[in-house]
Amino acid sequence: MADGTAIVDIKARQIYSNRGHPGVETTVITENGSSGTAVVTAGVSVGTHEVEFAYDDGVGWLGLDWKGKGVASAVRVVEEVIAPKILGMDSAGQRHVDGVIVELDDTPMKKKLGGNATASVSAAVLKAGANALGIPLYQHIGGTNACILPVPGVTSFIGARRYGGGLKSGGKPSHSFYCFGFESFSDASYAAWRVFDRWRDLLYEKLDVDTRPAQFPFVCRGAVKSDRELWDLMVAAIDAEGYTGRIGIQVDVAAATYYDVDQERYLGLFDPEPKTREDLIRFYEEMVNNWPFVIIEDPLDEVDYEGHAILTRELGIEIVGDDLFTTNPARVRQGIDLGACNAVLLKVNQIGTISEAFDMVDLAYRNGYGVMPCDSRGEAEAICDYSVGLGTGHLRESALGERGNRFLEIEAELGSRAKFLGKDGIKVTRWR
Amino acid sequence: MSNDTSITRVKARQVWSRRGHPGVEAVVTTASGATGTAIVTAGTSVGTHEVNFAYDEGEGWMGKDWKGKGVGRAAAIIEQVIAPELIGMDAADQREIDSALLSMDDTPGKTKLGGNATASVSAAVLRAGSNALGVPLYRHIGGVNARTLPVPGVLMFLGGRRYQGSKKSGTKPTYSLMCYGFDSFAEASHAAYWLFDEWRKIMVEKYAVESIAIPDQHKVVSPGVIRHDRELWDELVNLIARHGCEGKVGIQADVAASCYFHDDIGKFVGLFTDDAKSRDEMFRWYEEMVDNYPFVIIEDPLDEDDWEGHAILARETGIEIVGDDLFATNPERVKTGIAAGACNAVLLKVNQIGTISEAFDMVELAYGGGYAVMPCESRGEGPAIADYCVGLGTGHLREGAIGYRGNRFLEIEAELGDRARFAGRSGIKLSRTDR
Repeated sequence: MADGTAIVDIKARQIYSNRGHPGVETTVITENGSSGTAVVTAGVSVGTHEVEFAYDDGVGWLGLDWKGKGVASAVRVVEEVIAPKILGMDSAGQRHVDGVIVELDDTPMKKKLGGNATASVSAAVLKAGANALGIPLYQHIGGTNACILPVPGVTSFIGARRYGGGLKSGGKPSHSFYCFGFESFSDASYAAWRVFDRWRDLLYEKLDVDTRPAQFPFVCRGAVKSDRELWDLMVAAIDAEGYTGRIGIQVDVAAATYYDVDQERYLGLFDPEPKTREDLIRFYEEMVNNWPFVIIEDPLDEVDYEGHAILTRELGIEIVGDDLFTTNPARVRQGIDLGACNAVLLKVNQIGTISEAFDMVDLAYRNGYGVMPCDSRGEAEAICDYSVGLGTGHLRESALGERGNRFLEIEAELGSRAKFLGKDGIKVTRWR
Repeated sequence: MSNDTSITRVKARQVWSRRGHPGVEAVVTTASGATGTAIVTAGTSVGTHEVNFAYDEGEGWMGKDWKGKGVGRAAAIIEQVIAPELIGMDAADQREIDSALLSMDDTPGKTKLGGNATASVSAAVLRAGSNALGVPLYRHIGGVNARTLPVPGVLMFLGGRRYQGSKKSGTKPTYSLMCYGFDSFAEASHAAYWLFDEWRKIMVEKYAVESIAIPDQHKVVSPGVIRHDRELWDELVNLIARHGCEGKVGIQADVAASCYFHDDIGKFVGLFTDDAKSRDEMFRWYEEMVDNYPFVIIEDPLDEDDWEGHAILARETGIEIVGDDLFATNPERVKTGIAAGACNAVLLKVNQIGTISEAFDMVELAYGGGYAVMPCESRGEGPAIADYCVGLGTGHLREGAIGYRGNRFLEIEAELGDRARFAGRSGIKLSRTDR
């Protein structure tokens, strides 16, 4: 063990996530006075195949009712169950620490301890290890070879009721601009800012949608008849800034939430027209042929492996599985066997420990799948270090804001060693 | 000075602000290896009486065009002009550092160096000083006596075109709930969390406004969702009652009335409803609002040059009247306001004034005049706004109940333990006894 990297203290508390709900925060202190802090929070939607998080029954922290979302019990698990077992261990020995955590809870879904408790400790140890060694987090993750800055995106709009239809979850399909045709992350980030600023002007001028107050442009109910209007407008923004062929469109469809099992139809997706599976597949072909889509996430129902395989073969762009895989290794394996999707969404804190998340990345890479990291379980700016450390080549959004700032910092630190993969960072086999 | 706190390095770069535009970040390193980082960004709206920020003319960072918002020059000023003067100085001696900054730019509007360059260095020094000394930032600011946790608020509603009216600038009035009738910050914070979560459901069910995935808890409302803000006030009152929070939670409104004032006709257009209202009608509106709804704070209720009108409201309403556009964080304007009795509280944008010491002087000026201080995170202060609140004992702040600012307050409250004191109702300038 290097000097001073031993874990000497572990604290946890309930905090607020940036989505306004409780989350668990763990801080790990090392012998040399370094520390690592990690937050784990629930996502907006939780898949049925996901690792279970521990929530309080009845009253929680302060003796108050947190609507079933309190994590006082998870905090206690961290401080009373996990901490005694890993005190004195080497914070820089991630695999050893995670091994002990997995021994404490050998259920695949982390039912005993709760995946939020285990993941917050595991991620805090990772950061404490990096800090105790005095190296950047991305280097701790990926070694001296970690030098790839990813293709970033910027969300162009969310809002699920934009056709005036029924209310769906999570504001999907959400769309982003993907900035791949550039020489460096900072160039891509600059382009994202330009196109985003132009886009907000266009939304205001053409659709009367005022998005200035919100970070996420939010298209209100009934603003459009079909998403085609918005795609045309996105293309207009790309063209107006002179980025034709260098910026593409990403869409997170979350199709499962629009699938009506009784009618066997997708309802209210892209426009008010109900669509069968075959209709929707044809619809995607039309989308990819007529607009510069580069990434589609969760295009079909979450049990339709075959449909995802068809789209992966036919469309020639990146098809990402999120609800399909739910960051679950067994489901990823099944997808790989069937050729469903060509990329896996990675929610680092969802799996329960960092080592298991890294195993999932290995599994994807060894089978030729891309990995798309996404800040959705409290990872925050550390998602940038995960992206560079794991060499993922691209990630969800993050061109601007605090994550953009962290990438710019990493790029500057790497200097001439920094690499930007450009379009090779995305699994696209067709290019217009 | 202890050797460890001397400044060894000052670096700066252009970064992204939370609002998606460039801002300047300064990083100050001390001999002990401790660092302090601070970001300064422009606000959504910039008052005419505010300190000037330095922006690039023409090409900026990376040789690119930043639409007049680039701060490559501000970063260069920090590294080339300011840094050489500060190296070797004591990071823990804020007044000395800020005097040095002021001696480099003695213009009141910071036109030579730019207020963003000076403020980011000044705030970074403050944090580096606190880190080098190994004391929490709030204690570095306020000394061992800093222990008052503020009444926090939670933003419920914004969106400037809600009445289906004509396009107009800004998204005001915004409404927040101020949670004051509690025994601790943590309990006030829990109430804010609860009410906000219920409010999301009301927004979806009643106004068909989806609000799940928007960061910073912003609630943007579509055009034509309501006809009259009274609909919102009624909903908020019902919500407060349902949760048993009457007399514990009140409404704050940021009106930004200047944005709605039309000089040519002498009327406020599209405020609270689509109609035009004269100044006298506005007085009657406020009177009715305060009599019938649990408003506890109103910010910028009238045009930004109407000293007398703000004095009348401060006397008559018996609630806190905050001046933001009226004062523009400008000491001379605050003095004028105090002399006229206009408002009874000053909005504080820490990074707006140019240096930390000047911001603190402004706070003393307000306290000395019997005015309250309402800190507001709007120029890149980030979670440090929590430390400013506790350090300066402001008793309340704009929003901050939940999210990353709430987290920092909870951390401070836990650290202070039984020394912590929650300001409660006395944190707000209320002279009425009915709330």
